Parts: sequence; C-alpha cells; structure tokens
Amino acid sequence: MSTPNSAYLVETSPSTHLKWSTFVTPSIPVVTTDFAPGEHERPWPPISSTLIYGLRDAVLVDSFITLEQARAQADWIASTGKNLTTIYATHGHGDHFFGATILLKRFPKARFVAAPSAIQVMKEQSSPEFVAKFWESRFPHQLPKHLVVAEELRTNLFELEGERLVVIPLGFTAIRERTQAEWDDFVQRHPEYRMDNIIKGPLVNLFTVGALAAVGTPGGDSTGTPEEDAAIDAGAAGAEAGIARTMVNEVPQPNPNGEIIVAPNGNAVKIPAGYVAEPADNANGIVYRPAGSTGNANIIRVSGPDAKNPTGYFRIYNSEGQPIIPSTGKPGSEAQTHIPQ
Amino acid sequence: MYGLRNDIDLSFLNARELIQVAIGVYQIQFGFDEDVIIYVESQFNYFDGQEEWTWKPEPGGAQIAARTVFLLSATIQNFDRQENGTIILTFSNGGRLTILDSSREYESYQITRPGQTIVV
Repeated sequence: MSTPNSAYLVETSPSTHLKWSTFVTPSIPVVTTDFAPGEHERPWPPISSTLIYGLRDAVLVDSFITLEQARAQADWIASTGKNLTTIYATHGHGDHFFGATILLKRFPKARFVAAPSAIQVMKEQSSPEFVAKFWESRFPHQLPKHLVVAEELRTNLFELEGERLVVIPLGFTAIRERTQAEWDDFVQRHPEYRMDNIIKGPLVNLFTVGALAAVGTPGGDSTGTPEEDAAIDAGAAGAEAGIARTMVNEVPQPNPNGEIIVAPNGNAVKIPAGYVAEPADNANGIVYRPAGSTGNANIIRVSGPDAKNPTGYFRIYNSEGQPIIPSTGKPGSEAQTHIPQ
Repeated sequence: MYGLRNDIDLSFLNARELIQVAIGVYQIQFGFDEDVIIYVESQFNYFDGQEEWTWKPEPGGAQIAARTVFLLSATIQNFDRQENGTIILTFSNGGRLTILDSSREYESYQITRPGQTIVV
C-alpha cells in the first residue's frame, strides 16, 4: 500500500502486471496581490501525476506548470528506467499540461494526448493572451516558452504492454465541467456509480471498472457527449459488466479487482483491489478495508446522508490510520478530511 | 457528532491494557491489547491523578497528549458512557481519560476492534 506523507506512492494490483506510482509536486508560491483576508501569501496547491508502467513501457497521467516542476518530473520518470510512450492530460488547465512541453523534449518518442474537450480548453489556456494575463503573471519567467497542445485522443483506450487502460470520463475535473443538469442526467442514467446507491445497498448488477481502468481518475474531462457516455458503457462492459455483488453482513462487497465509486456531487473515490466492506457502527456508513486488517489503517469510509450530514461524506486513511487530504495524501484537519458527497 | 447509541456494547473495553499512544497533529491514537484502538480527533481530557488537561487538535496539543504516556501498561478498570457520546475511561494507575463527542460538524472519535468500527 501507499507510504504516508510521501511524494511517491506505488500500488499494484494482482489482476495485472502493471503498476503505478504517483508524483506530487510541493505547493509553490503565486505572485499576486489578491490575498484572502489575513493572508500574506497565496500558494498554488500541490499537483499530482501518475505513472502507470509495465516491465519496460510507461504512460504518464498529467504534467505540471513550471519548468522546474517539469524537470523534476522528467527526472522522476527517467529514474524508473521506463520507456515513456504516452503522456495523457486529464483536462485542459495549464497546471496539468504546460510541463508536457519539457517532457516531450526529454522523451521525444512519447505521444501527448488528451480528450477533444480537454484540447479545446488547452488551446484557450495556452493562447498568448491567456498565458500573459493568467499564468505568466502568477509564475513570471517560470513557464516553458512554446506550449505544446495535445493530440486528440480518438478512442477511450490506451494500450500498455498488451493491457487496456480505459479513460473514464467522470464529468468533473479541477472544476465542474458539466452543468448540474448534465451531471444529474448522467448519474440518472448510470446509477451504478452513485455512492448513495452503494450505501443504501443491496445493489446488484453494479458494473465496475477494472483496477487500472481509471486513467487519470479523478479527472478526465467530459462534456457529457454521447461519445463519452458510450465510452463509459464500453469501459464498463469490458470490465465484468453485470456482476452481482456479494453481500456480507448486509453490506455489498466491492469488486475484488477494485472499483471507483462516484458521489452525486462528482467527488470520486477508488476502492483498491482486495478490499472488503463492513458496516460502520453508530454512524451510517461503510468501511472499506484491506481484507483481514483491523483499525483505521488504509481504510476508506463512506458515510451516507443522515440528519447530521444531509449529503454524506467520505474519508480516506493512510497506513498510520490518519485521515488524509486526498489531493495531497497528507493528514489533515477534520474539515479537510471529511470529503462531502 | 453522532452521540453514542445505548445499544452499542462497549464491554470489550474492560481490562484492556494501553500499549501504545500515537500522537499526530490532528489525531491521537490510544492502542490497547486485543487490537482495540481509540482514535480521537476532537477533544479529550486527561486526568493524571492530580491535574486535568484538555487536548484539542491545536497548537500545544501534542505536549498535552504526551502526558498520557503515563497510562501505558495501565488497564481500563472502569468505563462510563453517556448518551451525548462522552466516554470516561478510568485506568488502573489512577489516570483517567474523558473522551468527548464535542464536534458538532465532524466525527469526534472512533473506536475500532476486529470486525467493528464505531464512529462517534
């Protein structure tokens, strides 16, 4: 399992020979005079990227903003000794793709790809006017000079050493890219992804995504197009669609190969392979834990809506049993670690 | 935030020996034998036999939490529970932990043992 407080997380799944690691950049200062009341600095939050790799090749999910961040990321990739074949951007904001320019110089054989909807945003973000007004003003003299925009990804699949990686458009990214109405429509047609349905259980015929199906999750721009929704169907169908859930103590068990569940508000959580579910006592909820474990180490707890929390929430714990901030992997305060649904 | 339901059996706390105290910035863990762990995130009061101290996840909290190592190797002699979620653990060496459900918006503490997670 993951190492607490580390910038490098490595996970494996017994159902595939592929592995993945994450690299998280530290927070960096933003040049601005627009501070919150009482604050004197405005840091840009840490950004994460994922390297999915096999015996020789690798796919990178997301790059960063600045030259320095990109060089550090390139060094990290190089240190793995893998052949980088693809750089995939989950969405089109500059903080997830500007660094690709530097990575492509370092790994010239790699393809840089993204969904069509992401590319549209990339073009806006990398326009000279937008760069000057938004990015260069915040990070002066720190950006790559010629920003590369990704090639259009025409399918929802990557191949990596004979295994398929499926892009799952979840309908949200750093900010919501769908309207609420579009999202409501999506989850109405795909109730299997809804956390509240899992909490209510029993839920049968819930399709799941394979352990490595979620490239870039949470992320993956979506505009809610029929093509993207079809991609979800295809991905689900390719990953054991229609399996019935085992019930233990009236709690629906997760897919042994792992799965992703999505809250009505678009927040998502990955249940890793090999996890089992048990009820949370006193409160309304489900504890997902490594089979055979006790305590809070490495658990994910999903609490359904109740009088105290009309929307419910989930919490993710590190190997020390501390609830973490999902975006950083570090322990956080109660407010930071109760993730609303 | 949830209070503590009356029908939840806490008798497994009886005679548990405190074997580990883990101090974090936002959470204190009290680890007992039989894989029983109490994770406190909101507030506890620690009475060392002479003086009572209050821990909250705020600056200086770690120093207060560190005082509870006095309880290591002691066993729970008696526990009291209240519907508002407060549990009071009295230890064999005279120390006492009062763990409160003081958070109105978030979880205050959890008690885990094999097969059970109690969220308060």
